[in-house]
Amino acid sequence: MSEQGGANAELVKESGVNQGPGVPAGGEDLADRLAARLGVEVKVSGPDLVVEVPRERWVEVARTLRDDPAVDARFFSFLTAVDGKESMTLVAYLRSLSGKLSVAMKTALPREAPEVDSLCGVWPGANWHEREAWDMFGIRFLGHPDHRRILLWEGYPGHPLRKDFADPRPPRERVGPGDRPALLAPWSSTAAAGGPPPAPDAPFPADGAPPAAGLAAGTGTGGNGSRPASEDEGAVPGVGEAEPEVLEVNMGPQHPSTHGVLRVAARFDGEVVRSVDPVIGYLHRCFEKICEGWNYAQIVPFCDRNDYLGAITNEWAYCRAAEALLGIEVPERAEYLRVITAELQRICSHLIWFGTFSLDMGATTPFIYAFREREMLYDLFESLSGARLLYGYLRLGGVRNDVPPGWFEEVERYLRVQEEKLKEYHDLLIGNAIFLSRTKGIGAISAEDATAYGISGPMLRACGVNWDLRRDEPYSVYPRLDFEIPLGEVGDLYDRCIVRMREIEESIRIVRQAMTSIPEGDVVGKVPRALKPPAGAEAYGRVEGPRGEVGCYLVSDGSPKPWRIKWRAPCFSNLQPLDLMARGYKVADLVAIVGSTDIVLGEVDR
Amino acid sequence: MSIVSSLNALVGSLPGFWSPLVSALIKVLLVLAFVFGNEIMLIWLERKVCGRFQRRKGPMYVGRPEGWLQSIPDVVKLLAKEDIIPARADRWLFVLAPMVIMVPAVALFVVIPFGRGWVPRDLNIGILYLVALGSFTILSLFMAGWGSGNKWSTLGAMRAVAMLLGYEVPLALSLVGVAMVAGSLSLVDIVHAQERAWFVLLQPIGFLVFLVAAAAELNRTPFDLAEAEQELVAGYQVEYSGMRWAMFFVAEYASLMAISAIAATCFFGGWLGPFASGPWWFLAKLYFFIFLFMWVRWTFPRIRIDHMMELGWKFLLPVALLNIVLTGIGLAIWG
Amino acid sequence: MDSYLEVVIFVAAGFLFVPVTMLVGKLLRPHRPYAEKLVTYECGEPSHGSAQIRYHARYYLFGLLFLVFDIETVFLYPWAVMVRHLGPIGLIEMVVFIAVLVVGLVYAWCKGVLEWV
Repeated sequence: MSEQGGANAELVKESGVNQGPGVPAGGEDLADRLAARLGVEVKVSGPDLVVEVPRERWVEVARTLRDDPAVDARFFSFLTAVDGKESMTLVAYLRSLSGKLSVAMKTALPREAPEVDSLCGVWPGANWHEREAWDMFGIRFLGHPDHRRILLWEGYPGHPLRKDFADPRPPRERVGPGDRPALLAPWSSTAAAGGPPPAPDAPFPADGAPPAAGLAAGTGTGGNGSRPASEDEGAVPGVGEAEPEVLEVNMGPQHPSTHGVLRVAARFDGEVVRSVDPVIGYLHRCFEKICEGWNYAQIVPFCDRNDYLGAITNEWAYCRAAEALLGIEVPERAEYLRVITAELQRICSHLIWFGTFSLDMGATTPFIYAFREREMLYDLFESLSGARLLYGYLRLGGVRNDVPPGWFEEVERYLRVQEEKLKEYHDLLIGNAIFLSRTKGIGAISAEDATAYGISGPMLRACGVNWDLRRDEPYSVYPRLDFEIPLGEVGDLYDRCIVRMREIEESIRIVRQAMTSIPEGDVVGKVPRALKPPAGAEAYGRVEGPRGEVGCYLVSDGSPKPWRIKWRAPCFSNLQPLDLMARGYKVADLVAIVGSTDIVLGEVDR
Repeated sequence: MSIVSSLNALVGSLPGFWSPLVSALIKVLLVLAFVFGNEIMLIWLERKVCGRFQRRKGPMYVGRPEGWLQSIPDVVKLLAKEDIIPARADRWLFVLAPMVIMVPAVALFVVIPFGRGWVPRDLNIGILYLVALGSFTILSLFMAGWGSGNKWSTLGAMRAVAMLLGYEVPLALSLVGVAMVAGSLSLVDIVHAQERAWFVLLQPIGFLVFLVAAAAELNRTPFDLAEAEQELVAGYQVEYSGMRWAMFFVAEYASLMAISAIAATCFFGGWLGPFASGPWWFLAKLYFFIFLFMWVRWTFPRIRIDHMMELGWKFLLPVALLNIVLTGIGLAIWG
Repeated sequence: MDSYLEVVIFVAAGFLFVPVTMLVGKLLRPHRPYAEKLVTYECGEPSHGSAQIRYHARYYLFGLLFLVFDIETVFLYPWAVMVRHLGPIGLIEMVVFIAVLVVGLVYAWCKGVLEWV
């Protein structure tokens, strides 16, 4: 993928200045030109361009959108489907980081046996998203390198997000293989409705099998230089014939350092990682399906449960989508409160990351130190919302309540303590020679790979990509606040660490500014009694969460309940290139790399 | 002293063959009592020290004040836990490993002089004996890791061996300097040789090399690679439970005491003090080193296995060799 | 051999400590094994294949070097005890001996043996 270099390279060192609101400058203009160029229909919807593509031209148009310098859509955000009444719509959200432009690419598929060409060759990050679309909608992706289910297990009867889905099994059997003594009696399904024949659910990636890597696998532009050379090719002496040397190990789901129920099917060659395959879905509860049964207001607190360490930003992403659909205005004071709580949430989440990452490094004491400060933060949230982890603080049209008296002073007191303690963290861990030797040059991913996989948040910025939704697609009152976007250089563990630690400092600045400039007024706007968006309306609301782009794609059918809700989880994309990041490093590095992605499995599995 | 001499007199009055045997048995019982008595305190101490470093309190309730009896119910609990030997395990290795690890843990104390004349047996090859016996620990770890038939423990076993290759040579070489200055391998002689100056002053480089290598031999953070909870779950001891697991724990603390005792004896003058020399000085130095190792453990992140090898071969080994040459030159000039 | 009696007794004490403790524990502990309990732990997933494989010990060359230097250490000990009595000649001899080994170490270092592959 050598042709991907240029535009991103410019992007990398571009200095950030607040630009105008999200609608692309001259959007209509660009839409017309694109329509002429591609010969397809291009509309402007809210801040985004919508490109309607016939099914046969799906991949071709995608490639044009990626390579056309006017669009330059190198960032793959997500792909999903909407099961309409007559046909199925496949939606892929792409973004141009240089043009600050989001493009939704859509195509219509038949409801019966839908098939389409795979986008994996254009953006390797499409891999998992297409697997999810297959899992949930039964869409076959032709030419997909690894066409398996992802969240559910092989043999699951049917595709649950299809509107005609009905679980054929009696309720007692509606449990996964993990709920029964599967070791002795593996669960097997005979009623695979439309699914592939049941397969053993513990596939290890074959040695030469297509790795999750797409970009770097062929040309070697991935990996930033320092990657050890002894991988892939079986260059290891002695691994000739039957290769008994490779140890196939399940790391997780019950492992101290997988940060939840993640399973990494790993192949170790001695101490060296030959390949890893993250297996997810252990925490899957089909959030999106559950939401289809609830009305718009009910969903807000449920969003907390996705990324349970970033509850406020989850609610915010949903609220932005729903408020756009319903046309609800948010009063200014509420916007400020959203910013303040979201930034406090970011600090809180990064503190947990710092603590757990130090644990992954084998240092136990900094973990407790980080949790000491987090405790103060939780007290603040408790006095604000009544809850300590899952706040349910945002409402459609504002926030639940105004701050209690004296709360801002308490926050200020906390911020002062936190600033003090940040130095302590640096003294204790980040300056340590062992820590440096274990993080510098480890687990790097290049800027091109990161964008093609849709990596976002601190992990993307650690690669030097200057992109932050708060500044580049400004929402709420962020344009009025003065803050910097910390950047890394090579995208290794050290850069990720430094970027997150500096983000804490910037968040402290933002909270201070917001607290001094917050106006008086209502905290909830005018919300209609009946929340019924127009039929066919759709919106993609996104905010910059602690882990990256948290997004919610909503489609309405005119009823009080959403027709389709798609959760764009940053960790889902951030975790996907784990193989690319970890291959060739040591077992100890694998643990650190998993830790550095800052995954929350509640969000990955949804 | 009077207790020892009266004991000696008593034992000496026994007929022929029995006299040394009974004396040895009494010594072993005394040492076991010392080691395990201290160990109960050490486990409590580790939890308190760790707690204080981490702004916690540690155990507080069993044995007020400060929960100093906490380890006793822990032992009872471990005794009452089911003993599980996994079906995949190599039974013999699995059962033998904890027995093997207890051997160095106890037998290291044979040559440790607790005070003037308070030594179970003053061997004339003392240091060599310590170094040789110390590496038995790794044998046990390998047996445990390999014998468990678990993939994580296999990785742990292999790491244990790699560790040995990394630290063993510097550890042994760091003590050569001590032997050169003292002109003896006997630990009693080494203590006597420090009457003018502790060897930490004469052998500062050797002391530092010893400290790092000894920390590696102890398998504690930053060198807890074979166990590496966050990476290998618990490494070689994944499959162990109950009292069998506790044996590794017991041995680890016994080794901690032994290594601290060696450090105190070889570099800090053993029972010698600036005034009122006696076993209390030895005990104080022992606990100083124990605290030092605890401090390190709760401060540092874990080193990576290849960095560990680099540290051993590219830094500690050349420095230890240099130390020997410098010591030789020093002896030739001032000796 | 008399002086090693203590060593023998201490080694035996260490070795027998575990069986004795296990015997005491036997009075207290339950014993109810069943198939799942005896399954090898692998993070909650059924374990595939054997753990006792031909492991790729990447430190094999370290092992060879280790043998050389460990034996060197053994040679150094008797010399260390006698160094005061051997005079300058003894010192020079040993420096030469160490130098030869250091040359070997430097060679291995340059050859990249001291890198974990």
